[in-house]
Amino acid sequence: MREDIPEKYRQSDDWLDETGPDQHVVVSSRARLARNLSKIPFATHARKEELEEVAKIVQKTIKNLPTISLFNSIDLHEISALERRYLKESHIISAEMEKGDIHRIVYVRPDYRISIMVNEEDHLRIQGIVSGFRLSEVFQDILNIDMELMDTLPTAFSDQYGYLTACPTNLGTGLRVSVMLHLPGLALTRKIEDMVQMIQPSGVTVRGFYGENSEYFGDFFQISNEISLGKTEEEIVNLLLSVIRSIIEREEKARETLFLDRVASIEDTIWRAYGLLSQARLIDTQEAMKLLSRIRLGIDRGYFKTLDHARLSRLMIGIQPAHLEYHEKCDPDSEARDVSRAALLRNIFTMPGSTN
Amino acid sequence: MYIKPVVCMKCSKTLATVKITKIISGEVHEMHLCQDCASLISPYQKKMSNLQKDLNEILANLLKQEKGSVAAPAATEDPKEEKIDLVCSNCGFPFESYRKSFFLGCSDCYKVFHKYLMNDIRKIHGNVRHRGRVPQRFRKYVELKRNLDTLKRDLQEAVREENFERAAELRDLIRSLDAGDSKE
Repeated sequence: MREDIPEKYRQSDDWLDETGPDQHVVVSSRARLARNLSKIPFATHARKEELEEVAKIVQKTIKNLPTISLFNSIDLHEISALERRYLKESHIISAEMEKGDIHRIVYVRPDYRISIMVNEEDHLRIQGIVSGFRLSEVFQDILNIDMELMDTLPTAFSDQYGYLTACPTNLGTGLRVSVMLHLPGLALTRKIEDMVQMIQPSGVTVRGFYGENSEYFGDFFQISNEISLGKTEEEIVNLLLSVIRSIIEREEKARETLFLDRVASIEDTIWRAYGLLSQARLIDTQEAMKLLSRIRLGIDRGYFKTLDHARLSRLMIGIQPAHLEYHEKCDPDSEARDVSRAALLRNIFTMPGSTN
Repeated sequence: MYIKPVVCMKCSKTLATVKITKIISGEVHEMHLCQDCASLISPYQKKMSNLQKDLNEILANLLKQEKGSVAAPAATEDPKEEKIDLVCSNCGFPFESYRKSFFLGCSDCYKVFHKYLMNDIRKIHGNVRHRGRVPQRFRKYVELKRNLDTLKRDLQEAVREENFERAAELRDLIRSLDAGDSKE
């Protein structure tokens, strides 16, 4: 199956294969730094020539850097819309970059865990992603890239506002750290609202699976810091660490309660999900995510011996539209995709030994 | 302990704040004077009087700066209020566009629109002072600035505690650093 992927994207989802701490609740940890070059208009308002200037300055600088010169560069204007969507589904680029406007470049570390987006809304967005609860590690990774890259560039900075960004919401550190959580316990016990109310005053935001403006589905939630100015980077990371730690505890408690008080009904929802996944002929992305969310809860309870969290995370990306089109070679209309998605899922969930 | 207020023995116009004790041929003379009259008699009081004026000035400046930074952007509090016809001198970005999109044009916009942005930034982040990492090129400068801020806070503290010797030391330090700052 994987032979069909073009060489350059072969490993774009490999970060999912590593197992990280607290994976029963934390799917992935991400961090990004927003950076700009002084004086040149921000990418949101720059003219073509100015965007080109930024792209050239960055390219020239990167060529001479020991680590970043080994990154692969992808010109998003040059590749197909399908390829862009594929990279977005893999969390390598943002929705803004998916548009594929001219002079939009992404530099990707060969293992796809770190990428540098050029001419997003800011001139540079350095971002990293790892599986599980490893915020400090992913933050340190992008900080190293930042030090190598930005110390050699004319960075837009003021002593009062810190790193200057296109939108004032990113001022200061330019740092956004976020964690993708799977919270079926809190969702099934109707405690998501409580959780959101509890954590919001501490300065964090809750979003859906694909970040800003994306919807909640399959009980996946993205939590990130709201404030980037006035705190040190370490304080921001520590805030997230403690908030997430408390959510993990709540989620674990909720799961305990569920499997004590409502074991028959919770087992029923998990096995019904399994039934649908192993038999259905048409499944859209949202339904698939919802069902896989139930399976993920089952994995945590040891119901599906041949599946693990990493495999399931990969599957959640694998059933996204562009991934299906790429891997399964299905037609780009939505019914063909739903057929292909159902077939892929049946193949996995009817495999001998996929249950105990 | 309560000290009864006394009028200056020399000018009889203002309250005496200084007590000067002179010992002339074994006899103790106590004089209750106002700061101005005292500085005419005693060289030490003259020095103190000047220092007090300096400190007042520095404190007034400090307060003015802080007040100014809070009060100035009142214009943005009511968005319907007057149109601001300001355009960035570096990139030509008009301030009115920021009000529509919440995006700025370039790094210089933050300088040009400074007083109109301050309130928004405070609303978003709850404060307006970066405390995080600093890029290599700015490190020396920011370190100096951050030192200055600490010294100014210490100075206010010293004045509040009427520790004038410490205050004078701090004043001189701030002046020398400020001079170095403006040279850069």
